[in-house]
Amino acid sequence: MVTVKSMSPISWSAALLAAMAFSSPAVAAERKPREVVEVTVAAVIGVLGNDALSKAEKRAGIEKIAYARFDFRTFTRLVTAKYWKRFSTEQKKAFFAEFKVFLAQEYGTRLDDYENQSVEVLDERVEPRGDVTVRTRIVGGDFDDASVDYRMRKKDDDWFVIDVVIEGVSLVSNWRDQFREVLRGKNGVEDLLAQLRTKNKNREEGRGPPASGPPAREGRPASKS
Amino acid sequence: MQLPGRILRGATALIASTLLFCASAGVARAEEGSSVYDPWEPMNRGIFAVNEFADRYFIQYLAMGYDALLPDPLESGIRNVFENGRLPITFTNNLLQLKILGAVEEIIRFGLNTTVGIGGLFDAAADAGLPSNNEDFGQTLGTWGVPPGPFLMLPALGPSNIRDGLGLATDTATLAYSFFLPFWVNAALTGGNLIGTRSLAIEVIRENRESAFDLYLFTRNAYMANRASRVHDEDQSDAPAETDEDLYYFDDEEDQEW
Repeated sequence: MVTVKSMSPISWSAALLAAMAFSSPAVAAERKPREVVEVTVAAVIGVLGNDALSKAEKRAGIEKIAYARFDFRTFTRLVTAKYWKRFSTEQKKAFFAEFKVFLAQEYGTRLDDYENQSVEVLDERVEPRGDVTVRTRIVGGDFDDASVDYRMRKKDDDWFVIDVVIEGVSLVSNWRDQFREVLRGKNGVEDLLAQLRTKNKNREEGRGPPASGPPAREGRPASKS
Repeated sequence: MQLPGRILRGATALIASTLLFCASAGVARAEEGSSVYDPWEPMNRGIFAVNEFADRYFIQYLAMGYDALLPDPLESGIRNVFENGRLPITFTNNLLQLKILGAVEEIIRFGLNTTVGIGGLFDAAADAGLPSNNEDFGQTLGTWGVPPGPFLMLPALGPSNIRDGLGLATDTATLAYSFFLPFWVNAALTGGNLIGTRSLAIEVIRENRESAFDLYLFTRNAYMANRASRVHDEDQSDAPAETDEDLYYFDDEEDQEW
């Protein structure tokens, strides 16, 4: 049985509330980053703990949560860093669309390993220039005591995830270093786009169609590869 | 017993030599933009390629076989026994980091797990609310300000760095009982432990291979970041994080035409 343990109690109704809150900014406006993470984590656990769902459905469920709570535009800028200037407008749009899919799938794939465990939301730390890092901890299972920190940034009166730091390893930092390696090549931007498309495609094929259907992918360019 | 004295003297010598080494190596700064100092990248990539090859075609199947053959409770039991056997390491390093409470807790954990936990098969102490305070000598050196130094990919053992490599050697030497066991027993124990550890990561490593754009960089950066956070001890939330704040900002925020 999966439960959410936390210093301030969250109940299963929080998972329900999560679904509502995602679509109602009025509720979101007054929430603190910590509460946003609590609700998000509760929703994730709700999906992972639902034994009626297949693995693919769980992934799709987690991806949906990521689509609602991640600030993909900021993620995009952070992982491309100074190389963003080399992208044409078309390439920017293409990268954004592909990376969004990649990131959501990555989050889903990583988290679906966390079975039979609970998550404790520990505390929050205010970073320089206003971001807030909310620290959480996995309890139980093979990954007992693993730390998962969410770096949150305020946008339109609500808080969104701009990095996930798993056991001290920042997704943003790790991708940025890998992307840099590709981007500084001669045909860097196109190469990176091609690799990203291939990865998304391979993942999709490896999984089969999720029963609940993937979220809409606006602006996704037709890939030739 | 002169063993502790020997370890301490050895540790001091190690610290001194590490400091010297890092001081001379630290002059050359990390390659532009990269977050990790890796002057031996070509060699490291070579070793990594060999490790990967061995793992893809052999070791991962051993791990899968191990995972398939043994029931989960037995696997975790074996892990617990190894963990329990690390008492000399965890105790010494808690002590060396002046974590007296941690050192005492490790002793109590060892006592509980060896008796109630039937020779360490069960982590009875954790169930009783006393989780492990895992520390190793690499972390101890880090706590005392020794920088990680150049990244180092070890054959078979995987990612490391100068500091943690020396730490690993020291920790291994701390397991005094290994001196009294014949070589093949030690080899079997180490091998068994490695396979058991590898079997935990079957899914994770498969996913890493799937998602990484450059698996070497991914592994290297993840290792270094993870170790930095362990040295920093993430449970002290009020301590300033070691994160590079530049990571989270970008110029030209007006650029929204995409």
